[in-house]
Amino acid sequence: MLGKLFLHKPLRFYLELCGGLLAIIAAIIFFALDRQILGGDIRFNDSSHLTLIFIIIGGVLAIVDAFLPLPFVGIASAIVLGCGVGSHLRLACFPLADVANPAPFFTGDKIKAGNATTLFFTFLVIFLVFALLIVIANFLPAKKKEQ
Amino acid sequence: MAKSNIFKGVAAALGLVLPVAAYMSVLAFDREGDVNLFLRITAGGPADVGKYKSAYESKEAYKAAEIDYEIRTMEEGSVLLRNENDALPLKKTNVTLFGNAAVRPNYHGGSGGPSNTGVSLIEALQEEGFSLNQKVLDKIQANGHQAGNKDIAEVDPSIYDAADMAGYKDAAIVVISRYGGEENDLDLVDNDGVPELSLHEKERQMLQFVKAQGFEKVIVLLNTGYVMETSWIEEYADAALWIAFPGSYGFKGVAKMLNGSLSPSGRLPDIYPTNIASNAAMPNWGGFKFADLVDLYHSEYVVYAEGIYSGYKYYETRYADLVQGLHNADTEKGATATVGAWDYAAEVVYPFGYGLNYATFTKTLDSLTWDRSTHKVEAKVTVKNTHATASSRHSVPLYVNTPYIENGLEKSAVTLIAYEKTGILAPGESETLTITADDYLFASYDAEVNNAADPTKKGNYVFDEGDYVFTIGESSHDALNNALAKRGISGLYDPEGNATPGNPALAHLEHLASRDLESHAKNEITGQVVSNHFEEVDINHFIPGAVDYMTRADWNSYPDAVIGLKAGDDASGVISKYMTAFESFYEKPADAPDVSSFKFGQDNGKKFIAMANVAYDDDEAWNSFLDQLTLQELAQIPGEKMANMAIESVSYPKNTSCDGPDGLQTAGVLHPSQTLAAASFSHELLKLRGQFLAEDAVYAGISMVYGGGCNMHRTPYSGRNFEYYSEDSNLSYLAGRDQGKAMSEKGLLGAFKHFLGNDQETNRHGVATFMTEQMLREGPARAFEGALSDGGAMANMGSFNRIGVVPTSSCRPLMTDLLRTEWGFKGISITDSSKDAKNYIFTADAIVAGTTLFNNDEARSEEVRALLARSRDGYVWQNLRLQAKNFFYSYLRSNIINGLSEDTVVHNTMEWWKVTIIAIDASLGALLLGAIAAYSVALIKGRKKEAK
Repeated sequence: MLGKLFLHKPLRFYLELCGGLLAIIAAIIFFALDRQILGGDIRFNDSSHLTLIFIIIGGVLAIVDAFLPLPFVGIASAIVLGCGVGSHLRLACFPLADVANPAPFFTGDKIKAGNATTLFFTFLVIFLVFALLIVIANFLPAKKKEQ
Repeated sequence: MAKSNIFKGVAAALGLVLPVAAYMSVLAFDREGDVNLFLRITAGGPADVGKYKSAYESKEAYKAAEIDYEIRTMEEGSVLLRNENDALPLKKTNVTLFGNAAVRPNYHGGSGGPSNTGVSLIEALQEEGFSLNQKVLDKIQANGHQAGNKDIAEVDPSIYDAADMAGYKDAAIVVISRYGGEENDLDLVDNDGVPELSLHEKERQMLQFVKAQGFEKVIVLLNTGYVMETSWIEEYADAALWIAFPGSYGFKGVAKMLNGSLSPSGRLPDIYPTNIASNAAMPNWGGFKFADLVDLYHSEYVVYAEGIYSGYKYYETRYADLVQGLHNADTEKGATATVGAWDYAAEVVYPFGYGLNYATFTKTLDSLTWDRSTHKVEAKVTVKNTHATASSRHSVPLYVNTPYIENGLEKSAVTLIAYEKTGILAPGESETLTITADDYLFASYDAEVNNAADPTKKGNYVFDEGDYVFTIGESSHDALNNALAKRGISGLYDPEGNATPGNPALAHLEHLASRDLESHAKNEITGQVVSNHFEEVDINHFIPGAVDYMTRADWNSYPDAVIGLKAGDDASGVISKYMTAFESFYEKPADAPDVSSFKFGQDNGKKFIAMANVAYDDDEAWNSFLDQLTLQELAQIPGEKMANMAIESVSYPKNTSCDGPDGLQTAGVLHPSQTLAAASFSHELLKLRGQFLAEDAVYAGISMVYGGGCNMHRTPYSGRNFEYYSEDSNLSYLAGRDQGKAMSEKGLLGAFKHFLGNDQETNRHGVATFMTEQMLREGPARAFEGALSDGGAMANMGSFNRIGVVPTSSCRPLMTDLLRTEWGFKGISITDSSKDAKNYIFTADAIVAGTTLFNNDEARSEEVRALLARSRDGYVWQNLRLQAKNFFYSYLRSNIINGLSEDTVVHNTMEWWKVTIIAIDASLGALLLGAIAAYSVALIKGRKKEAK
């Protein structure tokens, strides 16, 4: 049964499945670390929960598209993941500004700003890589070519 | 690859990129003011025409003059703490620099304004002909990093090698630095596990190494905007010079002082204790939480339990009682440097107002009068340079020792009330100074007495019956000793513990036969009755007996930390009401005017510039002018975004604002720290500071700067002390008055900040700040009063903290009753960055309290629109019109009117970067739709093909 589900699938299937699943896992890890490091003690509107929601929805859509390739689901997945990445990049700018400026205005602490910047940008790259996997998958056919 | 897959892939790629671009666009628009300042897009009037044009023929001429002014600031503000055997100025030039800050100095603290760069100490010394030990500099360069939070970043002293010193032993110059800033108080336990303002082990080892190398002289430079614990200087250094944060060109001045081209003539703006923990405010500095509150910005408090005895006023007053055997002054309570009885000489290293000079001076008090009718004290003092070779300026501070009535009003034993400074005096030359003080600066606020001008109100400034001794002295302590000697008190000693008789010849005694309630029952400038407005700032008002404020009547009252306060112990519920409010607590008053009484969108033909000479009180003219604003325009005003948009209906041009106070964020010229300027004890220098900030502004296209800074150095650990004047409210009053007046006269709106009680960075957002009304008026408020009342500054910036439990920007007693009614302030009150404080600084509450603008927070305009259009709240409308008037009245006194005439047509234009961003987003959107459409078509075609 499992073999039927996962074996001998087109490349697109694996890209969407891995991209979607890993993005969801990464989003959950990021959210947990974000709570741990910043703990809500920040001076800007921390919408990191939006990142989590967008990435989970985008990831789920990618997984759905992997198993049930429907016409627009792959595009919708990329758009929603784009919202997640965009939201995440926007958030990352605040601690980055604290690192670059004399006063840690948004995080209230230079050390916290440094940690948060590292965290945000590390996960930005991770989210971006998984989102790109899904974009690439959209270029690929849904079915393997008949031999 | 099938066409449909290509289109689908392209659509997915664009689908990924478009939201990312859109998010960044939203961020850019949200932070529009910051983007504009980053791109140097400003909107001031021209520098070369108009009422507030530059005083210089060219930008180059102004820049050259500004460098000279910075050097002069260093000369007049740097404080020579020690100079044994005339170690300074240096006569030989082969020197070795030590300390990380020799290579990586701090030009500025971590706060607004230009970046932390400038002409380095190394460059400046080389310019002045010094030959530097490059081997040592290379080792420091290779082994250090820039200081930061909790990190003094001193290099490991083991890098220094005795073999490297050959040829460079004329002098060792050791640079010690400390760094702090906005959101960054210094730490009682830093990364090295010790108090950040103490001498660290690495520094001690470095000094020991230096001492062992046989340098002819050891010079210490204190590159810090904060008081440090400095009892070690005597052990290790022949000379020590406090240079604070010197700004872009200040090290040029330092180098000139080291070689004797200039002579330092500053005086300490703060007292230097042996152990900073002995400061009476320290037990209640930092983070304290209500035990029964939890939310961020809604649960913290700080209590000024030291009362009026901040800084030197504590140490000197306790000393005065000690030598008279009064009030348990010798109790162990508060003693940190000694075991057993408290001892001034053990607790203090350098008193307030202390500062040596290369020259030596004699002073005579020629005359002194206290004119009770004009409320002026006038002293004539002759200063003579008695040095054989050195020329220098010299400042003369005037202090007063007021009578203390047992168990009566709290009084400092010595208070600075005025100062003057000579020009450069050559050897043998003398100058007679006339020093004038307003007696308001030593009147005491009695919150219990009925006001003499309006007995229905409580509160009055008073002069108690008794002897008032006016005196000059080389420091607060020297002046106090002279005053005590005048009173016939013996047993006096200097800060080193040496017996001294004091000098009664430098003191003048005036006797007041009865208590005077009349002189300052009303404000001298406005004629308004001065009465209580701040009973609710005292925590004891809500929770009786919650705090025992320190009293001179018994020094055993030296404060303990006030911990564990509970909002629930306030039977009135006021603490909980305000502290836990996440939404507006504004209620429309029953007598609010009807909105139909206000006109808008009228065409009365009155342009902004035509109001330039209209008096503030001409209501008819102002109402006619304001009636022209549309609702949209009226609501637009409060939403500042480091700029205010043009208002086309009245031809008001766009303006730009930026952060300060040690220079303008965009202008790139970093001024020496404001505390160093205050240390000059020079009216002329503070005027120059105001003038050069205004010159910076007119060339940079800036009309408002968020500065100067008037918060108090309540403790040395506050991260922003470097950009505030002093621990002394009167020194802040006088310096702020001079600077504020100069800025106003040159058309720069100086938003003196952070009004008020933001005397620490820890928990600055939303912290409830408690103190007595006497403390508030004689301390934090007076520090602003010089600039905002007497000095005529046209703006102030609020603080993030609460005053009592009400956010300062929403506190009507503060923002209107005190500031505007009592002091007569007619300018702009702008919040601190309110976007980041929106869950406790609420829009309607702040506007009706007296706030004009919300800093960097355009979204507030939307809220205002809703209040006007949907809620149709006449009270908000009324207050908004008042603030609009304050706004226009202020900007008519700014450089924005340069080149403006009644013929000027004003249009709002969109900045190029906004157009670009919108174009990019729209293009991406169009491409995405196109790709989806193409994919759909390809899909349909494919299916048809399959069907066939």
